Amino acid sequence: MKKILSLFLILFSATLLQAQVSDLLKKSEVHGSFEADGMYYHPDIPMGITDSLIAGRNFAFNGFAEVIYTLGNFSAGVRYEAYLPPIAGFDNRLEGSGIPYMWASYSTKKFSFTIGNFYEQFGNGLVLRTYQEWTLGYDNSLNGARVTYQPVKGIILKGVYGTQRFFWNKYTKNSRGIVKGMDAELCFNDLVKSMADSKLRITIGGSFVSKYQVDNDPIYKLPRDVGTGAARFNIGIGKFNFSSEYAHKINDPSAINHYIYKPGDAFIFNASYSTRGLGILAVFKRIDNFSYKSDRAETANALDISFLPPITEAHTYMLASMYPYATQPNGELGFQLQVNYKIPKKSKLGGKYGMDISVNFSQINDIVRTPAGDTSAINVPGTLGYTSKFFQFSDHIFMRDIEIHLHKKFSRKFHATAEYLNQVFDIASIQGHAGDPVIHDNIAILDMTYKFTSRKSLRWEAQALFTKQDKRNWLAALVEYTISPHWFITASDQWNYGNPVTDDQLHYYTVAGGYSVKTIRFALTYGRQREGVVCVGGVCRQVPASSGFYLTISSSF
Amino acid sequence: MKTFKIISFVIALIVVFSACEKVSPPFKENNGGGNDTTGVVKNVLLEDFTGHTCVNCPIAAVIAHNLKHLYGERLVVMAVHAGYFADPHPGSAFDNDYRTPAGNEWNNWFGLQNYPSGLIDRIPNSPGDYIVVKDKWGVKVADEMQKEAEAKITLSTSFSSGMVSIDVTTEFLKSMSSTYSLFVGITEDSIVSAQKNENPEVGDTPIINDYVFMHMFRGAVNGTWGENIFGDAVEVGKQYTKSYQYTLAGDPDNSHVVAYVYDNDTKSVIQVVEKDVN
Repeated sequence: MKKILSLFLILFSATLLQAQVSDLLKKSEVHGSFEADGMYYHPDIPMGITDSLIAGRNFAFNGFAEVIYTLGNFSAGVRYEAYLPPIAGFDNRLEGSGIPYMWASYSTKKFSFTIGNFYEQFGNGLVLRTYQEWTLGYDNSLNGARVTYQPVKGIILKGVYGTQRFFWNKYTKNSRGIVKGMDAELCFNDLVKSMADSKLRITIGGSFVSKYQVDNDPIYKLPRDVGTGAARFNIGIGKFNFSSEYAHKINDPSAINHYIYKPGDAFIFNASYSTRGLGILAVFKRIDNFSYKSDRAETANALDISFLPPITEAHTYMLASMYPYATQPNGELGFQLQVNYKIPKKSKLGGKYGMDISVNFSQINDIVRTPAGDTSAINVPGTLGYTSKFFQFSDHIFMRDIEIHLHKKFSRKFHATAEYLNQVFDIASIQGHAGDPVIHDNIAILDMTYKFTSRKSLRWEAQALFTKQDKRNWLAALVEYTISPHWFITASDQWNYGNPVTDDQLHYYTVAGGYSVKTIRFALTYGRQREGVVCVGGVCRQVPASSGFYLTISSSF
Repeated sequence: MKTFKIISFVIALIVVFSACEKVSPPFKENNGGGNDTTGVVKNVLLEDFTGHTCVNCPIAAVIAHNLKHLYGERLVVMAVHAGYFADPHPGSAFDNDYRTPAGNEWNNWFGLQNYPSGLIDRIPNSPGDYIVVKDKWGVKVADEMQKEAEAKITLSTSFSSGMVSIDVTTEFLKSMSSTYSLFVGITEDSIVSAQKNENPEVGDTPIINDYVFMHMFRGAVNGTWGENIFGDAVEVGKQYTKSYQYTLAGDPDNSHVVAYVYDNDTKSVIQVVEKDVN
C-alpha cells in the first residue's frame, strides 16, 4: 500500500512540476541577435600587401551572439564574442573568444536591480557612460551591480558599482580601478500635478561618480579616489528647448593629461527651436582636462568612464568621412550651428514636392593655456599643469566643418541629394601625423535615386575631394541597384588621382552584394581598404591596408 | 520599508561622496629609489619598443630615463627600434635604419602593435599578453624590483681593435624547475638623428632634428633568443661561464653589453645586468 501511495505521490508531483514548467515556458520570452563577420585577405602588391606581410593569417573573424531571457519581472542575458583573429583595424587585444557579457535583472514598477555586466549613462554621459559599439570593437561595460529606484513618479535614482571591461582581461586585485556612482533626476512635470500639462517642461539632474585605483607608482603621489560631479537641466518652452550639463573632476593625473594635477571641467549647452519646416540647433561645448578612465595609465580607446559627445557632423559619404574628428579630452572649445529648412511645396524653389535645405557650421578650437604658477612651462608632469580661461578660444583650430545639404524630390520616381563641404582639419593634432600641414579641403557630392518600380531602384553617387595637402585630390563613384526587400548589389571606387606619388594613385574599389530575408541579412564584399594611422590618447596604431573578401551575416529573433 | 530605503540611499550617498582624494604639492614621491645593491638583488629589464617616426615615443624615453634615474643600475633599459614607426624613409631625415633582426623578431613574437609600448622583464600580464603601456612601466618595474633574486650574473668586458670581449658568469641562487637561456646584446647611447615628436615638453615639435637616442639596442651577440648554456636542469651554486667575441660597429665609449637569463617556457627574465664596453 505504501509503495502504491509513494508511486501516486511521485506521479502527482511530476505532473504538477510539468504543469508548472509548462506554465513558466508559456510566460517566458527569449530574444537575441547574432552577427558573423569574416574576412579573407590576399596579397595586393600595388597596395604593398605581400604574402610575408599577411604571414599566413589570411582569415580574420569577428562574431557575436546575444540571448536575452525574460520571465515576468526577471530577465537575464549573455553575449558570446569571438575575434579569431580580429579583423584588420580592430585592436589585437580583442583576439580570443568567450562570454564577456552576462547579467541578470529583477525589475518592478519602482525598483530595478541588475547584477553582472550592464550599460548605463548619467545625463549626457559627461561623468558616466558605458556602451558597446560592435563596429568599432569598443565595449566599456561595467561588471558589478546597478540599482534604480523611482520613489514617486518624476524622481529616478540610480546607483552603480563595478569594474569595466578591458578586452578579455578579468579584473584582478589592483589591475584597474573600481567605479561607483549615483545619479538623481527630477522631472517637475511629472512631480508637480499643476505642471503636468504645462508648456514649460523642466527636468533637472545631478550625478556623482568616483573611481578607486591603488597608488603604487614610484614617481608620483597619485590620488586613489578621484571623484567627479555633474549638474544638468533641460527646459522646454513651446518650440524652444534648452539643455545643459556641467561636470567637474578633482585632480586626476593620468597618462592622457601627462600626469598633471589640475582639476578638469566639461560643459555643454544646447539650444534648439523647432517648428513645421524649420529647425535650428546651436551647441556650445568646452572640455578642459577631462579624460576620465578607470585606469590612469591607459591611453588607448578603452576603460573610459566619461563620454565627451562630439559636436561635428558624423559624415557617412565615402570622401566626406575621410577626415573624421575625434574629441580632444585634454582641451577643446567649440560650437555648432545647424539650420534645417524645408522650402514649401508649390513655391518657386520648392516645386511640386518642396526641397530640404540643411546648413551646418561647426568649429572646434584648442583652449588657451597659461602657466599654473608652480612651473614656468605648461603640462609639466607632476605639477598643476596650466590654467585656462573658460571662454577664451585659442587660434589653433582642430576642425572646422561647413556643410550645405540639399535634398529634392523631382518626381515620384526621382530624387537627389547634393552636398558641399568645406573643412579645415588639423591632422597633426587629431591623428598624430606630426609635421603634416593642416588640411583645407572642399568636397562635392551628388547622390541620385531613380525608382523603376516600387521595388526596383537605382542609386548612384559622384563625389570629389580637392585639397593641396595630405594625399591630395580624390574622386569617388558608387552605383547601387536594389530589389526590395531582398536584394542589393553595389560597386564603388575611390581614386586618389591627385597623389603626388604616381605609384600611389590607386583605385580603392569594392563590389558588394547582399540578400535579406525576414531578419536575416547576408552581404559579401570584395575590394580594397585604405591604410591609415589612428591615434587615440597618445598611442598610435597603424590600421593596415587590406584587400580581399568580406562576408557578413546577421540576424535577430 | 520606506525608512530602510531612505537609510540605504543616504549610506550610499555618504560612501560615494566620501570617495575623493585631493593631493597637495609636492606631487612627486620623495623616495631614494632602489639603488641598494648590497648583496644580490633582482635587477629589471625594460624594453622600450620605439621608432623614429613615432610621435609619442620621446615621452616614453623620458619615462624610461626617469625610472633609470630612480633605480640606477638596478634597471636596464633597451630601446628596441621595430615596427611601422621604425621603418627608414630614404631621402628624408628619417633614412636611418635602427631596426635589428632580433628586434624585429621580438616585435612579431610579442605582438607589438601600438607604439610606444614596453616589456618589463617579459612578464606576461595574462597568458600571451606581455605588452605594458608606457604609463604602467613605473608600477610594473616597482613590482619586479620587489622580487627576490634567483640568479647572479657577473659580466666583464674589454675592448680592443674593434672587438668586444665579453665574459659572463651565471650562478643560480635557488633551486629552479624550468630550463633557462642566456642572452647577450649590445646597446648604444648618444646616437643623434631626427625623431618625430608631439610633446613640446620633450623638445621641438613636430620633429626634433638632433634628438639623442639612448639605450638603443644595436644587436644580439648570441642570437635573438640567446642560448641555453645551463642544460636541462640547473644546479644551485654552480658557476656557468661563457665568453664571447663581438665586432662592435658603434662607438665603444657609448656602448654597453646587456646580459640576461630568462625562462625558456615563459620567456620571463629572471636576472639582467649591464656593463660599459669600454
